[in-house]
Amino acid sequence: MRLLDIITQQALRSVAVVGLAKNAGKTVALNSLIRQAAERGLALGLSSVGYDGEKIDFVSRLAKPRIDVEAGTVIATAAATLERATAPLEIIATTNFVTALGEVMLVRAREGGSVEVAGPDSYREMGVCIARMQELGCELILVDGALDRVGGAAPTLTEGAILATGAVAGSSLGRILSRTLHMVHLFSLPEVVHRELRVAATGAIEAGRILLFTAEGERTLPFRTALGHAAAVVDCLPLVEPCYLIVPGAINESLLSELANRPRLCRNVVLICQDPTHIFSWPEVWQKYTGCGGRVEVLKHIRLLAVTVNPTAPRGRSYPPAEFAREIALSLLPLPVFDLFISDRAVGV
Amino acid sequence: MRPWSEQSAVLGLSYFFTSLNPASPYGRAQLTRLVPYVPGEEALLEEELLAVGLFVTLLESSASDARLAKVRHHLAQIPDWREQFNRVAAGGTLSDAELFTLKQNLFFFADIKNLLAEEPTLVADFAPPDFSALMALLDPEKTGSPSFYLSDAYSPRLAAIRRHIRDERKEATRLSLTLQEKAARTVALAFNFSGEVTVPRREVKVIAGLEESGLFALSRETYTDLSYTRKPTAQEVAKAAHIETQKRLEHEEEEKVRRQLAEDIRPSLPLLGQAMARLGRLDLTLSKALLARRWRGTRPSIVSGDRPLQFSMTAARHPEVEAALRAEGLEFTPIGVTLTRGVTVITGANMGGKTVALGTVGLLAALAAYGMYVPAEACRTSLFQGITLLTGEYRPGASGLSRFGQEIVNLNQSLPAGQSRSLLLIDEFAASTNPREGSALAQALVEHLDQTESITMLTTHYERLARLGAVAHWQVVGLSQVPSAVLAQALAAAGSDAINHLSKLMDYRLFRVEPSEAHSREALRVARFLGLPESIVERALSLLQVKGEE
Repeated sequence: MRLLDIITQQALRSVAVVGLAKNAGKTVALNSLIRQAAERGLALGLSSVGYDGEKIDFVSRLAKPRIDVEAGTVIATAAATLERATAPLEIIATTNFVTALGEVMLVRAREGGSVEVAGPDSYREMGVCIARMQELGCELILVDGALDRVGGAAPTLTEGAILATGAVAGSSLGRILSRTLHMVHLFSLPEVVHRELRVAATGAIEAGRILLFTAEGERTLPFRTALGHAAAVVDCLPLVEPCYLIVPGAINESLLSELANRPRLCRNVVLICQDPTHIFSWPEVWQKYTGCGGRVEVLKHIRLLAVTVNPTAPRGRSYPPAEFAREIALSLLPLPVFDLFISDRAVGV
Repeated sequence: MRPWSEQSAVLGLSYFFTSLNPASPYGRAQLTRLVPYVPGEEALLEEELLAVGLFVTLLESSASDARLAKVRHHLAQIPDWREQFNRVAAGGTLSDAELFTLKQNLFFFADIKNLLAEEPTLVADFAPPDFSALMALLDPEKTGSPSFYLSDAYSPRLAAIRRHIRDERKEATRLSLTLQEKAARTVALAFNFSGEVTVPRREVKVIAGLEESGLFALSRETYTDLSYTRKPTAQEVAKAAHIETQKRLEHEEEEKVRRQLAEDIRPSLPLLGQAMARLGRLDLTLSKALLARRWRGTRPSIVSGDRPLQFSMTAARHPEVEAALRAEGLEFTPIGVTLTRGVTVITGANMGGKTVALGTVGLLAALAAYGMYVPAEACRTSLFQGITLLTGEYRPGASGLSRFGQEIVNLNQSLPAGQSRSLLLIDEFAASTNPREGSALAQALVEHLDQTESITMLTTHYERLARLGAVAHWQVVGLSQVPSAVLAQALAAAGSDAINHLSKLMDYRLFRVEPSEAHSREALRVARFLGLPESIVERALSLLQVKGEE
């Protein structure tokens, strides 16, 4: 089975490719998907999203990634990248979304060639671009997306996601495995099901107010986020009664630690946040929290389709490819894992 | 005399400019250049008011209203092409993105032209010209789509180069695939999709075979593996170089086409400029009409320049104050007043809206001069060489002057020359100095201004000004119409909410006072209402009676 097969089998129309760290092989995954889509004659749409630090190489001031496209591909990218494309481009529409590289334009490659892709800065704008590329007839839209530090991320906009991980993600195989597993685990956190709770949580997150939800009723806490006052927030929790704590913005390590240090409270509370990209925690703190019985639910989880691995880090460290890929594939079973440097077929275990 | 623009903020014109909110970049550009009509331009102003009136009338029909809403929607989407316009005019070229925005402009021009075709009264002055020739230039493939592509149709040479590149690329891919398959068979290894083979270091024999074949070059290595790519053959290298050259030629030809396009666009610039100006005017005039509707405005009637100065308004409102009041659940009381050459004095209760009345006169006179409908039931005004509002608003320390000092300096800058036809609005002149000198100064000022060609409106507490012979006297109705019993009852109920109650009882309208009418005791009623101890109010009343008897 190839990477694209996973997408087409589930009839997904948009997929984000995100990296666990820089140089984890995101662009390789993207190029491989583009090639496979071209072979199958899929009408493709392409873009990238994230803040400029992630989209532009600071040394060269060039947008990354630079991607080879076939004739017919639609791309949402900033005006300044158009002149550096080797593919002749037809300009279809403007978007009014302005970035450091100019306004984001919707263009179509009239011949094959390479283009730099630098899409919109915000996730709301990316959502609009995806919709417009679909209107233009794109059957599959691929988004190069950062898992960035400021709320929201590409995978929550698309129907599915592919995670790139590799030797750059940690100093040892164990470390890489634990970080990858951790991220895969976060992606698949359960979604809030209870209808009333969903309504309350959506409202509180939109309003930017921490909300305590119990069988007795709802109580808005006097905080806009948990950042900076984890202890004060935890002090507001009821001692025995089970409750949901809805957290707008990020759930960070200080909140998780604070709860883990009070195991009795920890067992009674379920934290709720927007989506998995709003949880900022290393595996250790997370495990301590869940170890105490702590739980987290999200309004929207991420449908992870596959993981790609890159056994080589650009500076030095690397692992034997076959063993590395197999090791990760084993620990992620049944999730398909690919080492695209070796083969476009999933790693067998 | 101060120029008009400096008075914009004081007169409340910034609220007007913000509320106008033209939709297109061309309308906004015209808004920044908007200047008031001055004496001598009465006929031009009438034309402008007629144009606004045309739109106001159209907006009353629901079909035209819907059509103009569509026009405005299109106007809002037109991308600004002024910078590119100037570049082409200066002999520059345009990028594909800039050619695309020109095409977008043409599409919107055509859409608006079609909509306006349904409005015979607007076509002559506002419809953009026809651009089908220019459109054909930007749509060589005749797709009718608003997208832009530097198409093969622009240049047979470009078409040939591109075709050649396409064929060469196909050929190169086929060649390298063939060679790759052959190489893979030779060493019995598979390539990954980026054209690499990876071999563990321990497979010494395989590696030796790779090296010996002479077909491979080491591309990267790790502790455990070696990766090789196929060495391109001389034929492949030559082909790649050839494609590079062709790409360069393509690029050069594209540049040539862009230069030629700019050349071909240049003759259309005057027409484009005309279209931008027309749409800017359309946008701005439509914005005025929409605002006139929102403000329930009326067309001011303009007094001819050879008649004596005159200003009158009936049931006028100050939209900014009205909006602020509405936000607090209060209503604005429309006011009316008539002013003629010479001095008009306004007296009346504290908190009775004298300052707002002054501001409303200034605003309406200014709006009319900007060719705008005014928020009133009726308004008749001359054009003024200057409109000045002296509010006595004072920021301590800002100028190093005392309140009185600053007032005098401001007045000095604004005093109209004898023949100047200006509108001068003065709020509480010399109220902050001692009353004896203050009222003497004010009287002297009034006598001076009465000799000029201008209209002066002055609010004051100095009753002696109102009794001067030549002066017209108006007064705020205030609390005088409220029966004492009602006032007493409200007084009892008011408590901490006195200000709110007061504004509900206060009658803000102005009325003309005949010379014989007695003056009011409004200040004492207000003071009492706001809770000043009764003993003090009583004492003040008795002092007034003593003075009156003297």
